[in-house]
Amino acid sequence: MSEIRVNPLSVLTWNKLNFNYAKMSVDEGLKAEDGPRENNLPGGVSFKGALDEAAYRNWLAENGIEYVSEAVVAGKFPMPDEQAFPTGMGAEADKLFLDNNVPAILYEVTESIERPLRFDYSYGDGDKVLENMIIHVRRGCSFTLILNISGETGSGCVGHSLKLYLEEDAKCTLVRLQMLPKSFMYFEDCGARLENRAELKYISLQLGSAKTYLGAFFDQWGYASKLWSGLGYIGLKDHFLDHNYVDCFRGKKTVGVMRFNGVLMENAVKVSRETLDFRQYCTGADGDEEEDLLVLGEDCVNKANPLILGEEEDVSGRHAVSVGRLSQDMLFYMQTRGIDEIKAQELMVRSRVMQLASQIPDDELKKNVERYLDRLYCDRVAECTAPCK
Amino acid sequence: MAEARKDSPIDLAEDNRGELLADVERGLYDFKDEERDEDFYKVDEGLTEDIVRRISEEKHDPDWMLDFRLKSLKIYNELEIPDWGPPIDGLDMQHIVTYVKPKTGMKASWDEVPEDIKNAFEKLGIPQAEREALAGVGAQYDSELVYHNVRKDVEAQGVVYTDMESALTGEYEEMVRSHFMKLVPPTDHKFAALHGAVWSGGSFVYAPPGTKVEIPLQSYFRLNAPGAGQFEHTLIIIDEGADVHFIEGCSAPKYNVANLHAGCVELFVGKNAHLRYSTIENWSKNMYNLNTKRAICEEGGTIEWISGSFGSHVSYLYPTSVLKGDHSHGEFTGVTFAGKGQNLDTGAKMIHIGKNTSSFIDTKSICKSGGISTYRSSVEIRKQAEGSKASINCGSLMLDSESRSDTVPAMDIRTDKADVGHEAKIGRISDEAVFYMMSRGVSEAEARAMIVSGFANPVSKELPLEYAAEMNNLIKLEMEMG
Repeated sequence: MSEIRVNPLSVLTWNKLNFNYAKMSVDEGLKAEDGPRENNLPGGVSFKGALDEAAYRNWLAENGIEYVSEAVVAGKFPMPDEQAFPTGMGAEADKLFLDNNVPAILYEVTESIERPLRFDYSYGDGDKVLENMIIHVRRGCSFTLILNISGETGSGCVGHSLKLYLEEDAKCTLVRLQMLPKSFMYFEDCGARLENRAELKYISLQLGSAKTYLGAFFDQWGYASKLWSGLGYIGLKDHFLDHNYVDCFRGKKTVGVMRFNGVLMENAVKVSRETLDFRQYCTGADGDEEEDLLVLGEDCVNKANPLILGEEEDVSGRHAVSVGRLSQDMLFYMQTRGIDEIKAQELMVRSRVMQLASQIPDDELKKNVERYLDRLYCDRVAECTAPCK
Repeated sequence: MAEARKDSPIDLAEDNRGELLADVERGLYDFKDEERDEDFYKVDEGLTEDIVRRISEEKHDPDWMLDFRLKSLKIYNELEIPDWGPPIDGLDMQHIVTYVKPKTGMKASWDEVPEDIKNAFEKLGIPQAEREALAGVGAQYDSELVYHNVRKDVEAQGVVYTDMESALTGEYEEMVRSHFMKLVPPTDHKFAALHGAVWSGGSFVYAPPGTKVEIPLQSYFRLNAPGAGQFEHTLIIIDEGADVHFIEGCSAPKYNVANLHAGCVELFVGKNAHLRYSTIENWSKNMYNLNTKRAICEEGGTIEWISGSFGSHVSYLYPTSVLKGDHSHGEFTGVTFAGKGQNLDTGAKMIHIGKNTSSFIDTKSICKSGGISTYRSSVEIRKQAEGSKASINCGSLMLDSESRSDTVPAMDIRTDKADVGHEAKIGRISDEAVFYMMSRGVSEAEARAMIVSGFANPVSKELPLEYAAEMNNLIKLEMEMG
């Protein structure tokens, strides 16, 4: 077992608060995923090979992605996290893949594809797997990718890293749905670079795994590029979730929206870092970030650090957080209509999760999410009151 | 309309741009008085045990205080400089004089204060403000108070307002001893430890149960010596049901060497008591302002911080409210204006411990001409603080693209029975608003200054009129300066 620093905060703050980074313990003996590769790819998507470090750097150079040192973030603080292609989890997560000889699998999208491409990953007891992907969407192409990560029973460790490069006018919808068993440790990292007018819709729904680390860095280089990102999660008993989402505005008239919608139950712990980072010359950029959290357990811990960093005058940035419980008024209203407290909670949880799940362009997966919630509430009702119906 | 103080930067009569520029002449804060060696006692530059002992001896400390200073020095030497805030590389403690004492005792009449020092405070408008609007005044020049006075009617209520040295060696010694640096222990951070080692000056206030001081008390801190540090300690104890408003002002002339301010404010707010602590900080732009302020509230107590930060080269300032008692309440309303060459890292901390506690933070940050303004805060709601509510609202206004504005708020909530709301916004002055005002005959510069003043209104409206006007004039001055 080794420990690495992940999810670095974009600027440092008081060390006592333990926000500046997260410590992530990872198992030894992690292996590269041998799952979906070139088989069954639709026309317009091609498998371009597995890149080692040198090939990865060549790919960066070939695509004109200059190495931008993040050693000094926005001219302010010396930061430890330098990456050629920034991701939310940071440089040590990249290094973990290198140290375990996990190459980056490069896919290239050269035509617009209407039907979503879905990769299913199913894990079993003892699996210790790393998946490392680069998706390169060529100019003007549109593409939807769903990564469906699940497992039935047992314990293990799964880490997925994804770098997404959207050329001019490219459009991409990326969905990551995670329903691993509780005893799995899971992390997912993302770095996305958006060129002129590129658009990214990024949905991450986290329902399983008791220990989850999530990172995303959206680098909006291009003029008028657009991002919509939604993260939904349920933190159950003994769950720990740590995330770091950064929307970095570099291009003029860029637009970024980030939504975080979660539920914490029992003694779940959540640590969040959410940053709108307006770099110089991103005139006319507009960033909007909102976190809405429902806390349903008296032993829950909710830590949040929502940042707005600005070095450009002509921008508009907004951040809002709302943390609360089920209001007594609402409970009373529901009880007058014969809905007890557990059912009322269930309705609230379902509405939050399904709000995001409804945007997954795959009916089977939506049903899977509903079934997951049915199971969850079946168990909770069984624990709390009467036999499950 | 209230009459403006003479020699003050305030002109309430006419908001005319031509007069305005004259009214906010920077010299009102930047004037320097030469300090002749025969009139002042100074320790050597640097920080050693010998210097700490000399300060203690000079101040006639009781033995426990000398021990406290030496322990603090040890802690100072063990702690690291913070790695998360603005750089303070230009601050070299080996070149800071930690104690400069005017060779005059503390006076209770301005007539007895030496002429040159009295003139400095006259220029700042302190004696006149005392006559017109204050219940008591303390005036510190470099490391020691040179003037202290409190109105008879306030004194008659049993309110104690005196300098820290008198409190330390007089009848309040035990009270001081049981509270001094208990809220901000020297182990808190490196500059709290520095303060513990070399503190000098400051005020002590005790308001007995049920007293209500209708008009504010004020302390004014003037640091005149180049390359010097000021380390005043303010200790305020508000007993059950009492109500006090305390105002703190500070300024210094600008030198081309670094000056340091590492003061400490400790506020103890008793059951159902109320304390408002207002600060207009206008240190010169060679000042490192590494100040620590903290309050603790008992059941039903209320602490209100009103803070305007305009000066300093670098500031680390985060007034903290510890809401210990059930139903206690903390509020922080602040405005920070960072201009050229300034890196101001300011904000607030709220720690909810008692049940049904509530806090409200409302801050405005403005930056211009390459200034860096950072709003940094933390709101902590402990597990036992059921029924607590916290609201945080921070706005940033950037006036050009050379400048930088960050908001770094942290929340740590450990109960499900709390409601927390946070909202932050960053933006610029709207062109439409400027155009609208210009179409009504207001010049662009004035329009922008008025919009910025309006942005800072939540703070200025909480200040007494004269101080609000001073704050607005500081904003206008900063807007005029490139």
